[in-house]
Amino acid sequence: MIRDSGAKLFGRCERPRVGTAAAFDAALWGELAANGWLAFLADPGAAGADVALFLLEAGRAGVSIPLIDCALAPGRALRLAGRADAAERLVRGEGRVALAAEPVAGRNAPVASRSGSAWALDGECIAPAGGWCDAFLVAVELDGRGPDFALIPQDRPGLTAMRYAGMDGCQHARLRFEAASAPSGTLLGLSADGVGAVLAAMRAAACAEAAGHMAALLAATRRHVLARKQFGKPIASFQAVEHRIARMVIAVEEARSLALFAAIRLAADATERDRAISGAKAKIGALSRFVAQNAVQLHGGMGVSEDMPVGHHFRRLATFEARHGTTRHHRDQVAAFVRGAPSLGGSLLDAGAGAA
Amino acid sequence: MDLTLSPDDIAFRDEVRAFFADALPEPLRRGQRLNTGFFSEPEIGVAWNRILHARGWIAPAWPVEHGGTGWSLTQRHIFEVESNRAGAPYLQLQGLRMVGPVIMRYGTPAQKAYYLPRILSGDDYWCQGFSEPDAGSDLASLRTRAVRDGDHYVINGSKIWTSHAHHANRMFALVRTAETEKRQAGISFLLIDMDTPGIAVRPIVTMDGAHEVNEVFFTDLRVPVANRVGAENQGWECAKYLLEFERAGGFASGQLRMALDRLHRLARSTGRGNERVLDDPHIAGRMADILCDLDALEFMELGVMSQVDVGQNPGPVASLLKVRSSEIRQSISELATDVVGLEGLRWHAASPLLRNDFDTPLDEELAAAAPIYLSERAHSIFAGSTEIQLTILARSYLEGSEQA
Ligand SMILES: Cc1cc2nc3c(=O)[nH]c(=O)nc-3n(C[C@H](O)[C@H](O)[C@H](O)COP(=O)(O)OP(=O)(O)OC[C@H]3O[C@@H](n4cnc5c(N)ncnc54)[C@H](O)[C@@H]3O)c2cc1C
Repeated sequence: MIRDSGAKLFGRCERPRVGTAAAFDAALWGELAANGWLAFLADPGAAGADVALFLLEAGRAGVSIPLIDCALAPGRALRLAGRADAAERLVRGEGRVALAAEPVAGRNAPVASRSGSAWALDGECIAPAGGWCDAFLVAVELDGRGPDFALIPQDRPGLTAMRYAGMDGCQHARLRFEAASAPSGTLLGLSADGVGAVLAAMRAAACAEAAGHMAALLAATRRHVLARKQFGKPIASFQAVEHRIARMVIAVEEARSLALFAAIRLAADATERDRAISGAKAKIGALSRFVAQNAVQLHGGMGVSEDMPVGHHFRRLATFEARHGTTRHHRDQVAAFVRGAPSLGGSLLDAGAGAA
Repeated sequence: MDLTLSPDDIAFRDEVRAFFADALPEPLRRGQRLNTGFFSEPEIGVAWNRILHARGWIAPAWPVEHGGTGWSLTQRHIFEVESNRAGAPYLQLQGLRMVGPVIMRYGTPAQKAYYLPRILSGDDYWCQGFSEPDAGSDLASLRTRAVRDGDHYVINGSKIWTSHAHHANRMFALVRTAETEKRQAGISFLLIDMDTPGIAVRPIVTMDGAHEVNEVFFTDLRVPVANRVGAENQGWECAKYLLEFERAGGFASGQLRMALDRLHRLARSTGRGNERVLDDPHIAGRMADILCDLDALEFMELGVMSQVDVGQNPGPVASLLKVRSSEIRQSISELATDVVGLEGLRWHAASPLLRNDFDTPLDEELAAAAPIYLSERAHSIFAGSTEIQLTILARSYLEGSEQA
């Protein structure tokens, strides 16, 4: 059901022209709101696997519409913070809020420090859908009190937003806060657990979307190698090509499995959850690179031409790898777990039993 | 192999260095820093070609009688290394490395006298019309038809992926002049003036957002028979000869070392707080792998090139060098993209990249890394894909002797 609805909704979206971001598809966004899909994504209690299936279809269709950045993440954060009105407006599609949680290389992430009775924000971050939005949900570190989110309108003094087209087809914004005022009410007041839950859900969803992109690349490559003839036969008949296709099939299956596994583990305790999410993000990152590069390779020249959808999925997967904690970062997280674990013999069912 | 430089070589190296320091202007260096493709924009590449030509150093790989430098292999290698070290623009190789050697070997005296000097001077800008929509890896299946009509061939058909056809004033092309059972036996090699009526060029935009390649359509295009290189229906021999130059006619290691050095500098100058990206053991480890890969490649290149005379090419071992150089190249740009991270995965207002203004050298590096990564995916596809090279390599070893 979810699959079919997703496929139907996303099927008619157009790819952005290379070199530009897509226009924000307000019609589709309105439809997603009207049919309850935004509310579904924004619900902290939504079944992880259902959300994953929906995002998988979004990835397969290659949509640039910011389901995670503008619905799932800010919606859940607002709901967990008890901001029912703001959450309601968001899922009705009124006013767009973009998650701003990606670090800028070489810069400090936003920090909120006390300034009298209010807070002030300093630091930089990227909101990968921020160029389309007039408010940002900024991941901040509170002086001495751990992580939180701050809801900040774009015209807040002390905030400069630089907007540009990302290679994922989204309109990004790089945000710089210089003693930006954050009066009471700006900070959501989430616990570390609340922030962790939002980030985990967002990462799991991103993994599912990536698996969708990979599935689309595999399908496109299948079509191409069956149709393309060289040396008098379909290139699919050359064993070098066959074996590569087989590796891609394996990679896509693994990615889909890990994405679903991570989504299901959203319901587990934080340690189990984050272990699963990091593992999925790291491994899907590596697999996505393999699939994307080989999709291009097996298409030959057609693979680099923008007449084909390959490049778009390729760039979205590269962006996926660079976001939500890089492939590298999450692999390190799993390595830290390995170093601290008393045993690596536990099966999925062991851990799942505890959490269920 | 002796890897120490003689005093003469050292003197030569110093002379070359001094020349680059003096003769390579900053706008051209900038053009190369912001060049994300395999060929420079003409305004950069041709300008540099003319400077090298004026100094007599445009074609070190050519025999002296045609305008080469007469340098030893070591000197040529030094020149290549120093050229990359200085940040010199990539040259337009379709003339110097592709059609030039073919004309030298198979051309008539008149063709040599006319075309070779114009390649050296940069007056002619060549593009390569080999691939067709249905003839990629299986190049010999090409169908663009050339029919004899008096002193001319009349040509109909199309070419695809033609790099810089929109800049070129000349194309060398493979055309079918006979329907033969062995398809290779009906192909001829023609030199085409791109200004002739009957040629249409359509751009193909690639995944890096650039316009480098094109489709080229021929409709009743008339090309003088005098523009054929080699005998009619003997063009395949020229093509094979050319492809070996295209795959490994020079030292890729020089370029790749500079790409790695550039990445090294980038990883040193980016980071968070006091932590440089380079201090990340994972990044340093991947760079270590690449460095060792390059040691092997450079040594292999020196070994292979020492076996071939100036103006010649190395034969099937070119496949080995092509596979490795494209893999190493891609591993560098892949890692560079990891180093620049999310911020690098963006478009800039103008294309090509050098049309944008950047505040700092670091901004240039951040802007160039991802487009280079995207554009370099093509290196394992063009000039014979990696899969095709591996087949050639396997056959030549399996059918040859045990000593690889
Ligand atoms: C950026 C770029 C620039 C180019 N510039 C030029 C140019 O200037 N002039 C020019 O003439 N051409 C140019 N080319 C074309 C290039 O040479 C061809 O793309 C190349 O020969 C591959 O052909 P193809 O694209 O038709 O792929 P195909 O031949 O269709 O190959 C598709 C895939 O199948 C694989 N494959 C095919 N046959 C076999 C086999 N027998 N065994 C195993 N695997 C096989 C290939 O390795 C590849 O992965 C350029 C290409 C690119 C991408």
